Amino acid sequence: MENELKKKILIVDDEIDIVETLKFILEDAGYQCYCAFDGEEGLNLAREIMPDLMILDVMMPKINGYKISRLLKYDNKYKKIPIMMITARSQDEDKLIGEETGVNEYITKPFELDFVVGKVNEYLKAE
Amino acid sequence: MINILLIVDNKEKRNVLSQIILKMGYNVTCFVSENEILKLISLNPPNLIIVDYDTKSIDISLFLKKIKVQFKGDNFLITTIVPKDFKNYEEIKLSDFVINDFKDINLLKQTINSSLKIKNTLDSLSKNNQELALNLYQLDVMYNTSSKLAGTLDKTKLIDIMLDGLEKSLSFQLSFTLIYNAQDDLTLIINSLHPLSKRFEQAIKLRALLSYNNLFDKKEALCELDSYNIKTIKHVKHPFNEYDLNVFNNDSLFAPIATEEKFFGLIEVFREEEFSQEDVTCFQTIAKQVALPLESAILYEEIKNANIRLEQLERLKSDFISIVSHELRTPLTAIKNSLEIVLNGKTGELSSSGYKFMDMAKRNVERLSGIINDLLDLSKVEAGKMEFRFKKENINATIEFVKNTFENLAKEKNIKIKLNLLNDNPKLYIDSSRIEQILTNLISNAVKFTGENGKIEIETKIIEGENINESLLYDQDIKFLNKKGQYYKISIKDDGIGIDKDDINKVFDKFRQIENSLNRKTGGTGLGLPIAKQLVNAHNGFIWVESKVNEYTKFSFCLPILNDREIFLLNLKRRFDNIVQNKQSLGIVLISEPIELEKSLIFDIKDKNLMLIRQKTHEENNFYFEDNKMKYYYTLINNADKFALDFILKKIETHIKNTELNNFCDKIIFSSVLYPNECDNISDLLNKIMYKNVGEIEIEGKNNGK
Repeated sequence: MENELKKKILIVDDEIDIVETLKFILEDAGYQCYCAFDGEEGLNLAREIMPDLMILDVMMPKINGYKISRLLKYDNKYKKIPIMMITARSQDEDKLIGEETGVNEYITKPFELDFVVGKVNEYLKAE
Repeated sequence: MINILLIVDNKEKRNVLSQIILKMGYNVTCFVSENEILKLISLNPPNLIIVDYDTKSIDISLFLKKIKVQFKGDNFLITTIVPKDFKNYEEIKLSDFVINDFKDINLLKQTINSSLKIKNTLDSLSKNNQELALNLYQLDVMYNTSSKLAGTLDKTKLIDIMLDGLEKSLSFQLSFTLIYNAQDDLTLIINSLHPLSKRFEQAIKLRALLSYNNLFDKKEALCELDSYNIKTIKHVKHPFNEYDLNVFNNDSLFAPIATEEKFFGLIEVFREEEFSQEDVTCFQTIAKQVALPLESAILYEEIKNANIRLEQLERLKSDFISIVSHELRTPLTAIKNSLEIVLNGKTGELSSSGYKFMDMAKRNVERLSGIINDLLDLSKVEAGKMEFRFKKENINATIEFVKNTFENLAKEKNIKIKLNLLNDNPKLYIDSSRIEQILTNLISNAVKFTGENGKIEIETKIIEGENINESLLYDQDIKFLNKKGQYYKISIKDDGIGIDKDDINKVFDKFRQIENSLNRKTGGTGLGLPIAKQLVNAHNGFIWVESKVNEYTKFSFCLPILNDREIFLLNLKRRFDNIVQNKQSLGIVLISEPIELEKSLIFDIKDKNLMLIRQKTHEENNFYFEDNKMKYYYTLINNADKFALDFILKKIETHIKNTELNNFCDKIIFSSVLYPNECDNISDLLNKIMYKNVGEIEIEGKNNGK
């Protein structure tokens, strides 16, 4: 029962270690986390569970983060899901593509977990 | 032999005159028929013509006109014999001398002699004149040739100009030029009026190589000549006839093309008429003149190639750094996150020593990630890949913000940071996040190197470009200095350990930390200052340092204060530089009515042989289209190199100078489009440009009402 009240966060990254730490800290912060390890899996899972927020990596096998973002943001059913993008690149050009594909927030590696939790709180507590 | 033509139909008179002239030792020819006379004059022009006014068979007045017109160039003199009471001088005004009484023999003789003397003088004068004209022409050609030679750094063009100059001044039949490029790399250029027979061409090759070997003092056997890989370029003017070996019998001139130190080749020209001394001088001058620019051209080529190689290396290096840095970030993130979780006690209580070592690990991970970030930043900004978001902003706010972030750190050492900022400060065209980075680097250094109870002063000032002490700048920074402009100067002065005189400029060198400095102890990466320097330079500003050991260190940087036009041009230049660096095509979209610009820009681009693509949207007006009530003009420039873009930049620059802003187009969008050919139509193209949206430059003061 308690679980259903918790906001759902979907983390998609092929780096298992990154996913693990994110999952740990976000669960600690009181969210329910779902994980996927490639783009396709992530997209399917997103459509299945309808998360409240998604954290995506850019470079992933099968479908990259931007494509997932675009597919969801152009779909009325999912377009309200906030998307946070993790990237190792801090190039502004990336951000431009991100803006065009509807990414809400950028997290540049290496990132502070507190920063991520703070951002997530901003998006989910405001509602 | 001097010939005198007599036109006298009175027999008696004629005989007397003939005898007198013959006695004087001159030839006499007598004629009375006009046709015969004209024929004689044209075949064998006499030195003097004596005409009797009383000659009935000829209308003297008309006849005089006729020969003066027909033989304009020949300087023969006409003496007319007139009756004693002759008054009608108007009729014979074309004759050079008039004698009333030929019976006065002495007078007659005198007249003839002085006429002939004058004739002689005239002849030599005219000969001089002709030579002078020829010399003038040759001089003119030489002058033209040399000014053209000075205007190019292209090897082939130089040779063409030289040959063109020689052909104009010497009108040769055939020339060959052997140009030495590198070891055993020779090019033979043959310019000829007619085609060459095979053996003749072979002979020319041989002759050129022999001369070449002689000049070079080479003792190699001639049979090796075949192994010379001579590229031959032939320019033949007329397709008919054929030259053969006999051309070698013609007069020829030969000259090496060389400066005092270096040999570049040789040239030989042939022509049927003999060459005069002037021709020789002309030939030698031109051949000499080509050598110097040729040397520059060859050097230029070498430098260009070396530069390209260097650029490639530089690119490789920066790519390598950026890839490695990216790859390092992922594992680093995982380590950092894990440590954070453990340290936060979220996995259970840590023992105090466990905490200590975990904390140590975390600090070092942070340090490592700082180094990686710095490395990445440096490689990006050096490769021109760092993106800047320039805006007109108040820098004082940024300074105050950065100062506040250091308050705590400063308090720990009881350091006072004092701000002394100009209140009435101009807005600067900056990327404030980068300025923040510069200030952070400088202030953190100051805090690090200042002892307990020290003092840091941050001060701003407006200074004139001409008041900047160039000797404090790094060599390469001086090019940014606009002496006429104003600058906003920000200085950070601390009373810390100072920097030794010998090391003072090394602080901006990457990886060249000053040994024994506190850098290592205080955990700096040593990249902060080089990054700050690069970032300041990217703002077209510059940075310098003044210091005295154990007294103070003062870092200052200046940022240009720019007006809108300057900002516009600066943006343009940055955009162009970026495009050159990334070897992209350039798209320029001009919104609104750039008629003037179009005239000055687009057509000139065409003249410069740049590739210009204008896609068709409308059959007649094929370079603009309308959309949302806006007119878009667009120009795509493909494969533009640095020079081409500089040229366009200059064009736009002068255009802006010469026009009111309102007449300029409202907006110019610059974009680097990688594959314009992929676009089927203009809106597709525009989408691509808009999508890339790399540079949009708007002119303030535009007329929006259009």
